[in-house]
Amino acid sequence: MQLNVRLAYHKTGRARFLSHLDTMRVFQQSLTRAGLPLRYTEGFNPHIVLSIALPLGVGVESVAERLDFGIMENSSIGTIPARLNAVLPEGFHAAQAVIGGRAVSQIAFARYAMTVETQTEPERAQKLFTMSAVVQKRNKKKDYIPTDIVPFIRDIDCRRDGDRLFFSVTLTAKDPILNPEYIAEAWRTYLDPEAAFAFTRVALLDGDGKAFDAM
Amino acid sequence: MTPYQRIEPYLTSVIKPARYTGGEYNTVIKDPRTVDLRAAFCFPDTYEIGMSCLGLRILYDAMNRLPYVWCERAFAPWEDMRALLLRKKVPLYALESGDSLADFDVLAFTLQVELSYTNVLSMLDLAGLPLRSSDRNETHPLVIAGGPCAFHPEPLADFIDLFAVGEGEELIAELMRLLREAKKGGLSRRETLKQAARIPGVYVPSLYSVSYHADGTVAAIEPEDGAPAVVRKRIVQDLDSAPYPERPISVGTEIVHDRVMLELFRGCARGCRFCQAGHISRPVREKSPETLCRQAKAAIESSGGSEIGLVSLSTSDYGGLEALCESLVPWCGPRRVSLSLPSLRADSFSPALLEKAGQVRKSGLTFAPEAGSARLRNVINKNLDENDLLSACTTAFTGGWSGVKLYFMLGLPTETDDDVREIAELCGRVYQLWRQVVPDKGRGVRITASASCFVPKPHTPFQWEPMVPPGELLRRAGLVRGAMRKQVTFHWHEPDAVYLECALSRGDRRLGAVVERAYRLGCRMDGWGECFSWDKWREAFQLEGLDPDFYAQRRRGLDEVLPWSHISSGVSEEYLKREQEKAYRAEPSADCRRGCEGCGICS
Repeated sequence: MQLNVRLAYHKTGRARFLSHLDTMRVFQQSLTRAGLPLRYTEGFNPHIVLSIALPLGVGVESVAERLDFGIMENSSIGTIPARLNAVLPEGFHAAQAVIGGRAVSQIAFARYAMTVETQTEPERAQKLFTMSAVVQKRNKKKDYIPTDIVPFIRDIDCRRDGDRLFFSVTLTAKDPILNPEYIAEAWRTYLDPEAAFAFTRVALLDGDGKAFDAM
Repeated sequence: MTPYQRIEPYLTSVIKPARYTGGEYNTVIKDPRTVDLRAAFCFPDTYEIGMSCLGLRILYDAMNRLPYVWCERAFAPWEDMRALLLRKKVPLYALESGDSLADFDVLAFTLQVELSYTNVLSMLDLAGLPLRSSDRNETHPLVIAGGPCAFHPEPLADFIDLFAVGEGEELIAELMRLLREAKKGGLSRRETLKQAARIPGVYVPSLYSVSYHADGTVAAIEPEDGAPAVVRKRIVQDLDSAPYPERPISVGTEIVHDRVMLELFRGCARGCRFCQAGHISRPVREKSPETLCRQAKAAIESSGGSEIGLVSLSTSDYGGLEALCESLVPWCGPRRVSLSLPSLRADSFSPALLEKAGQVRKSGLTFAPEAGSARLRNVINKNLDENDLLSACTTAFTGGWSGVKLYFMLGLPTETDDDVREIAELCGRVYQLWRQVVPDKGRGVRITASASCFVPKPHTPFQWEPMVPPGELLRRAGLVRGAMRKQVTFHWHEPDAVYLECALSRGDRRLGAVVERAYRLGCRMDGWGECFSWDKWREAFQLEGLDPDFYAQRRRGLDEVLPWSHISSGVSEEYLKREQEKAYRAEPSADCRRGCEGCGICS
């Protein structure tokens, strides 16, 4: 019996600098170390059947990641997070595992929390991201094209706390996927060239703007 | 805040930031308050290169086995990260703790290639340390270095406090014990170094004075303060009981060789006259298949790795290869772990062996005839018969392999234009062979020949030879290219960087000024084609009044004091001279296992 497992996990701290491919590699190794009855691809060079729902930009933390992988028997789904947490590297945390799960093609938006240390007032930020903000955006052919990112921002909310601004932004997660790094890029282009943002993906949303799943 | 924490907010602005974060699985974290010594293993090249180096993994493990030492890692940052560290005024840090290298007790560099020397200076500089040993004091870390280039260390003598010559597993433990005592006893740096010089294999350059003749050759290298006249390399006698990293670091980001490295044996019995590795790693010492099997299983289970690479100078010379494969392959299969066998010789290539190792992907095989003509192969003692090469190719082609790569060298001693053209002819015969033995030509064949430039290296029978000038090497490469069939792809290496490698490997202590000058002129990452600038290096030589030709292109007299004559690989100079004579007569020497040539290593 082959089963598809969906794992909800967090990727924070130093692990946020691992790329999408690096993260795949980390899970290849960690799932092996955990000794789970994994499903492998056929062929000369077998590897674990594995996919990550929505690629996460380098440098972005997340508490809303989804990983799908195949196992050969319904051993005990409930113990998978604990077994993985014992062998995951720093920065990774396995939160919950379920069988199956909603089709990842239903993910339409992702919400991010962002903070930056700045003197700029929230109103100016709000204004920038509702009018137009043109940045050099990489397309699928890896060319840089001047692109207005505002149409890809579903909503943005900004408030000040001390020296820092705190944002909550919802960005498109398909056609195209907007990396929150472009919000920072626009900020640096229009407002403050030295700004260093911290990002966390906090939720996955479907086309109606509702939570993608209950994990 | 640690330097790492200070730079972290800006890391997304550099390429592949995961190289600069640490936090990989199986890294060793200790409480700094519980150790007496903080050490950093410093690899003077990028993370991807360094983490693929077995030496780093062995010594990281060996040092961390000592409860009173915490050994971390540091690598040379790529240019964008270097610029970021400088702009933000953040010192170079170690990956495990994120602490500044300047706060460590010991910085241990490995010198794998001469073209990394400017990176050593760059790392010291980024750590905020004085480059020269004489400018450092008790408040600074002790800077030590080992690896193959420690066998001809003089160009770095001004910058390194202490060299470790030979195999490091045992030496490093003895040195750490001494440094711990020295730190507790408040010993001065000079006194510490004097005591360290008594450890066999330790070379403290500040305890030797070098004098020169008017013509620039070395007159004498004289020890002071009881340092030994000749430093003999360290050898680990019993590899079965030597420390081996059974919990290897499992890297997240992509590196050059991401596999569990299983070292079959050290040394080489072949005696190829051009090969420095073969000479400085003598004698042959094998690990038992049982040890290897146990270590491989432990390393794979603890890391979750999916590939085991067998490591040695010549895999098929390992006596226990069949036994090892027989016990390892059945274990690997169900775990989807693959086994790779590099460094196969054409005269012992066996497809049955590869099948046994589970190597079912028949993409390409690599053989190294090194020279095109049988005469020249005798000169270099690469005793590979052309018939053996062709029969290995026949087996490969009929067995389903679709490509072979052939490695050659240009500029070998006594090489003539005929020898050079024979490279093309030999490749042509390999192509003809493919036409004859493969019935279905539809799949095509990839025959690749690549030629590197020969560097006459210290501690080999060719150490007195001049290097062929780069212009002449280019002419010879052109000869091969002109004579090569169009079905064979031919690559060759640009000779300028190799020429620098030669000058640095054969250099004396005065070259330290050139290395520092080159670094100040902006030379870094010299091993990377996009970074290497021969113009800057030439300027550095000129400004310091030294001539690279003097080091690279001069035939050394047999009675000359060579700049590395106080470092012994255990192979005697008389043997090297006899081998040079035999090379001139194109006379082969026996493999150690078939007859002793008296190199002196075993006495």
